[in-house]
Amino acid sequence: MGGRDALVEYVGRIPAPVRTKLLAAFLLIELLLVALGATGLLALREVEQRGGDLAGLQHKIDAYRQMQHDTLRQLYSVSAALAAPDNATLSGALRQINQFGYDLDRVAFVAKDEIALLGRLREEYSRFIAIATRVLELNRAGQTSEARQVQTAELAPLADRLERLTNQLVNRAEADMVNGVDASRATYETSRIYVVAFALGGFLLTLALGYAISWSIVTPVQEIDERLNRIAAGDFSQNVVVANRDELGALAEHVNSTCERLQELYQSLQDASRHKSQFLANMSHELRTPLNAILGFGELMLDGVYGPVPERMRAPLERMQSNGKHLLGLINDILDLSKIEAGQLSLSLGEYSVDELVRGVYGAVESLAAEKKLAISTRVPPGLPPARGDERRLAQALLNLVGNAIKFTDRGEIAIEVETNEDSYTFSVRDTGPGIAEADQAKIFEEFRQVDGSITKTKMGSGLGLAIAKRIVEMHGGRIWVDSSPGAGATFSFTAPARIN
Amino acid sequence: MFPTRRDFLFAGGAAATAGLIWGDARRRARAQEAPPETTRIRLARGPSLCVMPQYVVDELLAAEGITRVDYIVSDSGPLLSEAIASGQIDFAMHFSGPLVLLLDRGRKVTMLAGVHVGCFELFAKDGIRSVADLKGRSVGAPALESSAHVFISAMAALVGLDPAKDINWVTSAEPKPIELFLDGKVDAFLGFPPEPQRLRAQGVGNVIVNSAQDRPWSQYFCCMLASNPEFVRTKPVAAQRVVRAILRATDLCVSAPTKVARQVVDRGFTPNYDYAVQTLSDVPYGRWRDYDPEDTIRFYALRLHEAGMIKSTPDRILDEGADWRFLREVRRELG
Repeated sequence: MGGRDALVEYVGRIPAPVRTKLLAAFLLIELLLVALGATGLLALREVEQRGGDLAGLQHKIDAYRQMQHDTLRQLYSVSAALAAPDNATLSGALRQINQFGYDLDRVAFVAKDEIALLGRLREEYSRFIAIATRVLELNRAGQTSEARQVQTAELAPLADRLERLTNQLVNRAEADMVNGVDASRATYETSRIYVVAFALGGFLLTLALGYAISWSIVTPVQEIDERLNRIAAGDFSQNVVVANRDELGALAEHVNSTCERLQELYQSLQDASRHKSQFLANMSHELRTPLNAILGFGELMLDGVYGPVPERMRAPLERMQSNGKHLLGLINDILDLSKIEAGQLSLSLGEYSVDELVRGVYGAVESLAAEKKLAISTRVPPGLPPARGDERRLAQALLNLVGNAIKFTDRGEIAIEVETNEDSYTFSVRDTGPGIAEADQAKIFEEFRQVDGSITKTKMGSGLGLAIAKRIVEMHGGRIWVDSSPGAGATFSFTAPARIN
Repeated sequence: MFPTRRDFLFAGGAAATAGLIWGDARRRARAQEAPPETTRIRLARGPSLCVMPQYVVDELLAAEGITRVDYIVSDSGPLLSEAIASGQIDFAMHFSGPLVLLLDRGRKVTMLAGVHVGCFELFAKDGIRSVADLKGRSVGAPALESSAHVFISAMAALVGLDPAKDINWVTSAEPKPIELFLDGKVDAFLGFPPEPQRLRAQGVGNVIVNSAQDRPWSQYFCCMLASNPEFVRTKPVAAQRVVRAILRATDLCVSAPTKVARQVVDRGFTPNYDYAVQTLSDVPYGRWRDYDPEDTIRFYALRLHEAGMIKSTPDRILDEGADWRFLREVRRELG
C-alpha cells in the first residue's frame, strides 16, 4: 500500500500538466512495444542465420558422405577390375578414379574451415589414386598377383584411413550441426524470455502507469468533492490537501481560497441572522406587551366591567378578541423561533412522565377536536419510567403536531401514540387528513412554509409550528419526520431521548 | 577390419623392433624424468576380457615407478563409471558409450586415450538379420544405461529406431543376458569377451553386428582409458606413465598374445585360457596409433544425442571429459 501510495503521490508531484503525464506514459508504453517488436525481429534474424548455417552444414555432410561413398565405390571398382581384368572394367575403374578430383573440389569448397584435415585428406587421396592407378596398370599388364598384393597391403589400409578421415569430417560437421541446433534452441529460449519479459514488463508498466495516473487524478477529485460536500453542509473548517503540482493542485488551491471567502460570507450572514433574530425577539416581546393590554381591556369590556356592552358592539369586540389572540399566537411563535435562532432558548431539563405529557396535550386539544367532530385517541405503553427532558417544550412540539392534525383534518380521527425504543421514545400523531405529497414533505419543516400558501389564509396558520417543533426535537437530540401520501392521511413522528443529562 | 595373422606378426615384429630401439633410449630418458607422484594406483577388475591390457600392465607400471597395483572389483557399466568419477578407482579401461553418458550426467571423468577397437558383438536369434529388425523385439541387457544398453541404443539410433520405444528391453543382471538368450527368453543381446567366444564355441546365435569388422563401429574405439580427473590434475606424471604403460600393454596383446593370455589366466582374471587367446585374436588391439579417440567420443555422443539419451553436445562432452596430452606424447615416444 505504501509503495502504491508513494507511486501515486510521486506521479501527482511531477510538475507537469495531466495531459503531458498521459502523453509521457503512452510514449513509454509505445517504446516498450517498439522494443518488443525489435527483439522479435532480432530473434527472427538470428533464427534465419542459424537456419542458413544448418543448411551449410548439411551441404558439408552431403559432400563428405559422397566422398565416403565414392571411396568405397572406388575400392569396389579396383576389386572388380582385379577379379575381371577386361578393358571395359579397367576403363570404368579409371573413370571412377578421376571422379575424386570432383569430390575433393566439392569438399574443399564446403569445408573451408577444416584446412588441416582437408590437407591430410588431399594427401591421402593423392596416394590412393596413385596406388589404385598402379594396381590397375599392373592388372592391365597381366601382373594380377602383384596387383592383388599391392591392393591388399597398401590400397585397402589406405582406403580405411581415408574412410576414417572422412568420418572425422562427417562427425565434426554433425557435431557442429548439433551445436547449431542447440544454439538455435538457446536463441529461441532467450528470445522467448526477452519477448515474454518485454510483454510482461509492458503489461505491468501499463497497469502501474494507468493506476498511478488515474489515481493521481481521481484522488484529488474525490478530496475536492468531499470538501465541496462539507462546504455545502456548512463546514468550512478544513482545507483540502492535494499534493499534485498540476491542474488539480491548482483547482484544490482555488477551492480552498473560495472556501475561505465563503466562510467569511457565511460568518457575516450568521451574524446578520443572529442580529435579525435578536431584533425579532425584542420586537416580539415589545409587541406582546401592548397586545396583551389590548386583549385584557377587550376581555374586560366583554365581561361588562366598563358597563353593559351594546348588542351591536359585542360581535365586533369578540372578533377583535379572536384576531388579537391569533396575533398573539403568531407573535409567540416568532418569539420562540427568534429565540432559538438567536441562541437564547435553552432547555429546562427535569423529570417528567410521558403519560402525563400526552394526557396534557390531549386535554388541551380535546375540545378543538370535538368542535370539528373528530375522534381523538391516545396510546401510551403502561408503566413507563420517568423521562428526563424539557417537558414544556416537548409538549409544545407534540401540541403543534396535534394542532396541525386537527387543523388539516376535516373528518376521521386523530391518534396520539408513543413507542418505546432502547433509549428513546417515539411520539407519533396520525391523522386522516388530505395527506402530503412526497415532494412537499421536506419543505413543511422549513420556517414560514406550508404545502399550499393559501392554507395559511384559510387555516389561520403561521407556518412556524413544524419549524419550531423540529428545532425543539433537534435541541433534544432527536429527529422528526413525516410518513404520508396524498389522500392517505399523515403520520408525524419524532424521537426524544429517554434521558438527557 | 578383422585382424589377420599377418597383422599380428607385423604388429608384433614392429613392437619388438621398436622396443629394442626405444627401450634403451627410454631408460636413459626416464632417469631424467621426475618420479611419479604416487607409487600406487587402483585399476578396475571387471567381467569383460577385452580389457586384458590392464590385467598385464603391472610389470610395465613397475618399470614406470608405480610399484603397487590394486584391482578393485567392479562391473563394466554404471558402477564402473561411478567408481571412476568418485575416485574409488584411479584408472580403468571403460567403454566409450557409458563414459559419454556419465559426462552428460555432470559427473567428472577424464578420458585419456583410446585403447582398442571392436570388442562387442550383437547376437540375435535366427531370422533377425539387422539392427532394424530389432524393432519390437526383446533385447537383454544387465541394466538400463549399462554398456550393452548404451551401445545397442546407439546402433538403433543410427538406423532410425527409437531405442526407448521400439525395443523391448529385458534387464537382468542375474541371470545374465547371455543366459536369457541361450534360454530363448530374449531375442538378442550384446556380448562382450568372453561371451562371443563362448557362443562361437557352442555354435549358438547369429552375429548381426561385429564391432571389430562392421562399419561404422569398426572405425571407432570401443574401450577408452579413463581416469579420475582429480588424479590427473594432482598426479600428472603418474597419469602419463599409466597411459604409456597401458598402451604398451596393449601392444603386448598384439605382439605376445599367448603370453598375455597365460598371465591373465594365471592371475585369476579368467579361468579359460582358450577364450582369452581367442579374445586376443578377435579384438584388434593394434589400432590405437591410427584411430582418433576424439572422433570416437564425438561419434558416440552424436549417436546418443540422436537416441535422446544425452542432452550435451559432442563438443561439450569433449571439453568436459577429454585430455589427449598424454596420448599425443606417448604416440610420439612409441611411434
